[in-house]
Amino acid sequence: MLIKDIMLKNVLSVERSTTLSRLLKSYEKFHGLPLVPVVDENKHLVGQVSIQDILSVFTPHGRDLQRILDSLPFVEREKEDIFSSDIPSEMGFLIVVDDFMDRKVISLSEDLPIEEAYQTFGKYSVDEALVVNKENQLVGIIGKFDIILAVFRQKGII
Amino acid sequence: MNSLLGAGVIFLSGLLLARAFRWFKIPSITAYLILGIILGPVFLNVIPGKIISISGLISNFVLGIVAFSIGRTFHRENFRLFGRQVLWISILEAIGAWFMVTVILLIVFKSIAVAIVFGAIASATAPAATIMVIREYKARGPVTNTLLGVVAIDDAWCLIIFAISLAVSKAILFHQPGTQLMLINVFTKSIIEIIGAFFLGAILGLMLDFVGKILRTPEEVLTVSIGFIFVAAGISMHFNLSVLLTCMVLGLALTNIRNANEQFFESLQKVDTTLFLFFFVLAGANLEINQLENLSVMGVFYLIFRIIGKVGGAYIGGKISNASSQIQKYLGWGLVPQAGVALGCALVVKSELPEIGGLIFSTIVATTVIYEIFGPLCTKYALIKTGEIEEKA
Repeated sequence: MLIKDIMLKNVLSVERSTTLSRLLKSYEKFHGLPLVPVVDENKHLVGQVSIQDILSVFTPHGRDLQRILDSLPFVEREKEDIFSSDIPSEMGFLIVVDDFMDRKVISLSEDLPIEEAYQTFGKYSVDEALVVNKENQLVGIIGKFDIILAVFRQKGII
Repeated sequence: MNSLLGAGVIFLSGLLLARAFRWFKIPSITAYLILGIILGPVFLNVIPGKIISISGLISNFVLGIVAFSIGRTFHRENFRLFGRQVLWISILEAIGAWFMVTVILLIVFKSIAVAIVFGAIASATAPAATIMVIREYKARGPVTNTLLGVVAIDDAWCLIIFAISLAVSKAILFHQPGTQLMLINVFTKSIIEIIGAFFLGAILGLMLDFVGKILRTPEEVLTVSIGFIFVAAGISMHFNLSVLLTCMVLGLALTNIRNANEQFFESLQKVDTTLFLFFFVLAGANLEINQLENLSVMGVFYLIFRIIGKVGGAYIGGKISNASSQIQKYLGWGLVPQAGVALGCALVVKSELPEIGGLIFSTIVATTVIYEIFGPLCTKYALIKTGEIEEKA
């Protein structure tokens, strides 16, 4: 069985220019924030937004610089203080997805067998990944739970 | 005390002392160093000889990890993020400190081999201490942002300057001075050491990228990362190449080949803090008290001229890149702290050039303690002067 057989195909995506405010409103009715794909006008995957990336809005010096600083030897990672942060309300319109999205995306090919996809989740310690076709266009999203469901289905449990 | 008990004492007391020092806003590295000096042969002498005797092995390995992590800074996208200003300032403040310290020590002590290595170590800074001040006083503004960019990349320049300087210094010490043949030998040997390290790091990077594709679990990724750093350091030592440069290029190659290679860096971050604790305590324990009487003059020159080089270099870099006058005048003061990378480089000198390394290492340990206490005050001064933190802070 391949990823494309079980992945979720109808995925909500955003663009680099989407504002923080619009992104948050799009997902406020969700139970939690899923992995949000960022695509260009031709649906090419250019980044992703996770809850960790949203939290980076609270870091004072920008997400990319913060990430470099956190990776330096001997430097302790900074914890975001979301409660006493002084972000003015207009930042919701001034900050766009391009300011905080993760550009180093680990995406999976739609033709990958689900066994390999499951191993990849374990290797990178993640629970979901974006799925692309050969042209690196976004075609879906797959999570560990989708694979587990598929296995249960194969065994006749559901 | 047996070795296992000694190691336990080092880890537990290191953590406790670091917590205590945090109350006084002093970086953990200083706590580890002071603990090493107290537990080491100079005072209590409770660190077992067997542990001290493997300091060289541990240092080379930890420095391999440090250099590997620093190589990650050279991701192509980071250059776009840093911009012209950060690149000019960081390169010139690093070269400025190298130049000033090399020149003054050459004038005073008349040894180019010693002066050039001291100069190279002077180019290092301590991002952790600078960032600590910025976080503590919630500094915001253009000077703070430029300063953060500069501290993020300047240890990478330091490693390159250090690798070249050490190669030249070794070549000078191993050849008879005063002949034309000596100059050719020094040049050839240094070039081989540097270019060889670049090639080896790049080849190992390609190999590790390939191996990464067949790994299955985070544990395997960690094991292979550690294995490759040992291999990189081991082969470099065997062929007399620069260990630090090989490991840095390994990191540089990996981060630029594939996004998925971030896994190697992230796996090492899970264990590096514990290794750094052990490394710094051992660095403190290796301090030679008999060298302290020789280092007073050298230490004072080093302390003063490194600051002049940093402040002057940042000023020139700021001028060239059309930075604001506040950045030109004050940014260099934010770069005064010195710690991990400088100590690591000094340990390398101690093991590779024992005839001059003892004095250099002891000077760097002593000046690191001073810089780690007074350096953050200089950073604070720079940020107050530029109005990016309040004076009452």
